Amino acid sequence: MLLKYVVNLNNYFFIIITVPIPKRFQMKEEEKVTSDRKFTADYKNGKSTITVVYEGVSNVFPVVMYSEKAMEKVREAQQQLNNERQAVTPS
Amino acid sequence: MGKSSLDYFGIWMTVIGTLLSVIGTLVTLNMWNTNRGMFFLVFFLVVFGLCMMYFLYKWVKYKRYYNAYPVINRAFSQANGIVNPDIKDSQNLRDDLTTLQNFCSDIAEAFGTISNTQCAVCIKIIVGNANNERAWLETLVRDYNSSRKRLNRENESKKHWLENNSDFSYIFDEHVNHELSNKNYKCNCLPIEPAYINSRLPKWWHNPGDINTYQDKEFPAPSYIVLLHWLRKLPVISNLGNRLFWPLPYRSNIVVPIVPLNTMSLKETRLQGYLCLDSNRSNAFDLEMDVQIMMGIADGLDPSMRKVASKYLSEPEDHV
Repeated sequence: MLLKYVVNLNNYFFIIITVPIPKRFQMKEEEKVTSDRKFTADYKNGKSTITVVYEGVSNVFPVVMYSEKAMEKVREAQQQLNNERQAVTPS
Repeated sequence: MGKSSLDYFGIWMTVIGTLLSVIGTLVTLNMWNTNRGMFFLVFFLVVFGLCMMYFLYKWVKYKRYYNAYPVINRAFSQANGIVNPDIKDSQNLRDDLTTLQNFCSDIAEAFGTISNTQCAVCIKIIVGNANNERAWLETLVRDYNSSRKRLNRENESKKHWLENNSDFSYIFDEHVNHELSNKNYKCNCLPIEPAYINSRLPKWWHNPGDINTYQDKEFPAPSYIVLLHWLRKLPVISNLGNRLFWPLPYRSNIVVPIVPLNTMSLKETRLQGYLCLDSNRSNAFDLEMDVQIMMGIADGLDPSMRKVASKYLSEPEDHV
């Protein structure tokens, strides 16, 4: 039935159906990858920085950088927190 | 996240509208030889109906933002507990981590409402030492739901170097822009992002055709890798394999630096860490609006992160 009407319509104009391939099925174009950047971390208590060298130009960014000793305290607190959560949550 | 009654209303309106459009078109075509005017009338009614459905969809989407703001407010009230001792007298690091976990859970819930997907939120911090010229990233805290699922991954001893993760190294990219407002990483479909690098991506992902990567500990069934290798060679649907075999638990993400917004350059302030939002669904986020909300949240989180650093982690506040 549907085919009949399509033929009938065809007396007046052509229907050209093009099915575009959605972008989601295509890989994105490779963007400019800045993999040639060089990162250097300078750990100093309270004045840590990260230096990025790109195309010969060096930029220094101040960051809060935690020491490994501080991270031990964090992990200990995280473990304590998780244990308490697991004790409260029924399995 | 569960769908609201408004979402179901939108879905049913779409289904009914589509069926009516099809029926209307067929009826009109039947009258083609007898009444051409009726054809155009119904045609425009169908177009009008489709437009209405589009606006209804948009309205439902923006309505979700209204529902999310009370949850975001609750998150800020949690985070302020660290800064203001009158609100909550935190005694130790565990208390503050609990507060930050509640904060992350609220933000995850808010974006779950907005995107209608299960979202995960975490706070990453930069770690380093005097003997090493490299910095790596560790999770300070993550929302309650995702912490149960991703706990084992994070306990691994592998270091996630800053330069090996696009999400975190991108904001240092001076090539993009000096403006702080542009410093973020956002992607709505990570599997098809060729420039994306992540230290959690296994070796076989980058080169599935290389037999040496078969020694990888995280290597799945060989048939998967062979299939991925050949799917990538297909001319039109080359990313199909990437979508099928994507190994990470998230496909969309937004990463913003935890810095105050009222600075013009990242060089003028200290980066406290990163606020990360992700979802397992592709195209989960509105990359314009959601990034702006995330940057506002990071701005609000900055004082709390400074306080945590100065209280417990030997990082004095010398940069104000």
